[in-house]
Amino acid sequence: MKCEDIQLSFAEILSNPENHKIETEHISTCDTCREELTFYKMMQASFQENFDSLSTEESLKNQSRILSKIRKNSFRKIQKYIISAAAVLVLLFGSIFNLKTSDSNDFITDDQWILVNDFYSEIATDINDDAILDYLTQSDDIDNLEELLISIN
Amino acid sequence: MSQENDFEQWIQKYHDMIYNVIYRLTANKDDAQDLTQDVFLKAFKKKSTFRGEASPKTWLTRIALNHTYNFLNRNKTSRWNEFSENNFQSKDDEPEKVQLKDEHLKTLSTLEKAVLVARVYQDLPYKDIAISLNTSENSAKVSYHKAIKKLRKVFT
Repeated sequence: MKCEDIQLSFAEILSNPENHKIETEHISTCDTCREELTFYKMMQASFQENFDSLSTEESLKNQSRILSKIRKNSFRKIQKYIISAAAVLVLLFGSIFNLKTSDSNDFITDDQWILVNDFYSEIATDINDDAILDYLTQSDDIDNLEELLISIN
Repeated sequence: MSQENDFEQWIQKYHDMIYNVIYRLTANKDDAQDLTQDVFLKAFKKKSTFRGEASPKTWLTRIALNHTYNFLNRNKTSRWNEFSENNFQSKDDEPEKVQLKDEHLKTLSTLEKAVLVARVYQDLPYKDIAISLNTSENSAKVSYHKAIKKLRKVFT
């Protein structure tokens, strides 16, 4: 085993020496690795000690800031869902309404439809009228039906 | 709501640990607090991707390393100069200890410093460090080796 490999694995060796017996044996006999391990341990201690840690008060303050940010974020998420759902509903109803009106636009409006219905129902009731029959039998001009209806009205 | 409660426990348990990792990288209390907030917010948003393969501590540390590393890279010019003289300063009554000073750490690249902190302070495996810092395992090992070599030079 190379010294370099052992020196790269100090963290693992120190955290679990039982599983690194070959490495620990090597360290005990290798001056370079022992020296490097000492340096590693001193650095570790330096990292642990030479920084101010947060006071309990500061820590709790920061924690509550995080929580409030998370809650705000969750609220925004819910808001987004509601807005999206509303938008989908508006689009859905809009398209249904548009379909209905565009159907009407394509063919005939509601008012026109009522007029057409009336027109045909008038024909249906009046078609049996003797006067019309007489008129029709007397005249070959079937195109004058409209004029006939106007005259009946 | 219960997802929030679960996460609140994580915040209580790991807040100080994450803060300490970040503080060792930034050496700035305000930045460390802000970045800690960012890390937990990021973790909360990504919690659905946490499968429990790693421990929450490792998972959060990865996010913290990645976030701080990106932050340091974005602010390369200013951050290193803000190291307080008190950080890593030698104590006269403890001459036998390695006392790192800001000028020692300035000799390291952002990547080298991030790997060093993750390794020496957090005992994070190279694989996790590589994932956190968007680099290869080999590159993380090389960076660690370089960092140690540079610091050793200073102290010998």
